[in-house]
Amino acid sequence: MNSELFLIAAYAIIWGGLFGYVFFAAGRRQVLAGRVRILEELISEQGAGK
Amino acid sequence: MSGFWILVRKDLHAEFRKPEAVISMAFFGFLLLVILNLAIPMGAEISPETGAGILWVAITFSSVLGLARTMSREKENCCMDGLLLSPMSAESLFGAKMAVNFTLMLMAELSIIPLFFILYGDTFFHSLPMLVLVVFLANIGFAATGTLFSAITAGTNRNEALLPLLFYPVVIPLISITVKVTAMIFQGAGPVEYSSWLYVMTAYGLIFSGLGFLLLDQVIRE
Amino acid sequence: MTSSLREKICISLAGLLFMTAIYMVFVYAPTERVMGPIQKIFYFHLSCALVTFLSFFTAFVSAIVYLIKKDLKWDILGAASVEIGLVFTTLVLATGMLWGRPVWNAWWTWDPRLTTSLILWFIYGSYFILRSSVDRQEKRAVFCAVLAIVGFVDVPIVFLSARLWRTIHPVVIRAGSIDMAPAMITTLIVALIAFTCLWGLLLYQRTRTLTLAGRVRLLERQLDGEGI
Repeated sequence: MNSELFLIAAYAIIWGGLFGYVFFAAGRRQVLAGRVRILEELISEQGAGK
Repeated sequence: MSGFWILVRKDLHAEFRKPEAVISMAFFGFLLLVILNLAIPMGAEISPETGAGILWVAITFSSVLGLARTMSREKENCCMDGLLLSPMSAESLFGAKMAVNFTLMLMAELSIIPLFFILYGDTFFHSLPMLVLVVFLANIGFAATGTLFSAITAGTNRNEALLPLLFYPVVIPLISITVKVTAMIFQGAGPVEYSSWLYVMTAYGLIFSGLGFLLLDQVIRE
Repeated sequence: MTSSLREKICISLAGLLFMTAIYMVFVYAPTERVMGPIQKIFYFHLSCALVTFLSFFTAFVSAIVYLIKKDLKWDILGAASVEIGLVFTTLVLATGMLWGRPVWNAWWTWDPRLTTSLILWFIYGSYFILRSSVDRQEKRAVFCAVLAIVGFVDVPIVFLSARLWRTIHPVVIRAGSIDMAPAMITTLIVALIAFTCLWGLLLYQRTRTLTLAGRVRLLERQLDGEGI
């Protein structure tokens, strides 16, 4: 019974780690993609204003 | 090749004029020897492993102080630009800096090791001849790795504070082998028992010197 | 900036593979006689270790290519793979400890493999400390490439020296001595494939993210330059 507890803990860590990392990576990419879009808009606006 | 000797002489000359690196290395080494004494039970005879560990912790921790100086000194007054402009190759620059680091470590060890024997008992004294060889081999490895990494850290904005963080993870194998071999020597083991580890130490020195020769050019040009 | 169809297919394929791997680990593979269910950690533990090796090898190769070609995309690939490698090394260490506690009755033993993974973790951890303390991109790339090469070359020496770390090291399960049932081997192979796919996907995504981060920096600079 004790060893099953460790098994569950190990898999919880693997899944927690993997999902955490995947979500971090995906979220970061979304944030950056959004920022690129905003920056590009700003630059094109500035270009149009001049 | 002449550039090599000029640079070595210049650095050693500067060190003799104002021995900041060697003094701080030796002083910190003494401090560590005293502090690590806390780990030993009162009045107990220390085991060879503990003795070897204490000796090498003191040497490796204090050596970082000197290793960081040799490269950052060149950065201070933009001397690095001068060195890059000179017709000297990056290979001989690495060789010179490594030789200087080797010498500095050796000078610090010349004061740390006798103090170790005084503080921790002269029962290990019989091991001195082989210990010299081990120190020699270990110094080559430390100097090679340290020179390459101090060239890197001199270019970062955290400067010398970064060196231990990069240096220790990479030299851990060398430290652990050195400590084991030293413990064997303290125990009075014959050279046959640890000669294969001496080869590994030599290989480490050769590999990291080679890496330094190959990679320093890239590092200092940035 | 939504993910393309091909990406979606890849992600669902990896997901499917993972489902199969989990099913096989818990249902298909027989329970080990001596160690009991705890042995089921093994499949994913080894897969994580494989991914770690793949990552650090990729970092090593891309570091060499960067130093030759001086193209920043290799630096980004190297950084992405070291990052993934670090995540998976942490997982390997964590699962290894959880496996070791009930089986060896100790959280940690100074076994060569454990020690090597731990030192690897330190070396590549310092990679990110170095990365965060250099500002200029080209300089950072060269420094990191040098560290990646030195770190990778160091690994065999670390392994060799770790055998000496403690003279009396506990009896450890040797790879050759585990008699694995055919079902176990099939499960292991599926798990390895699933993790390799995941690794490929992660590497691709992280590389793209870091490229994007570089682009953001470029655009910001451009905007600053024009704004003044």
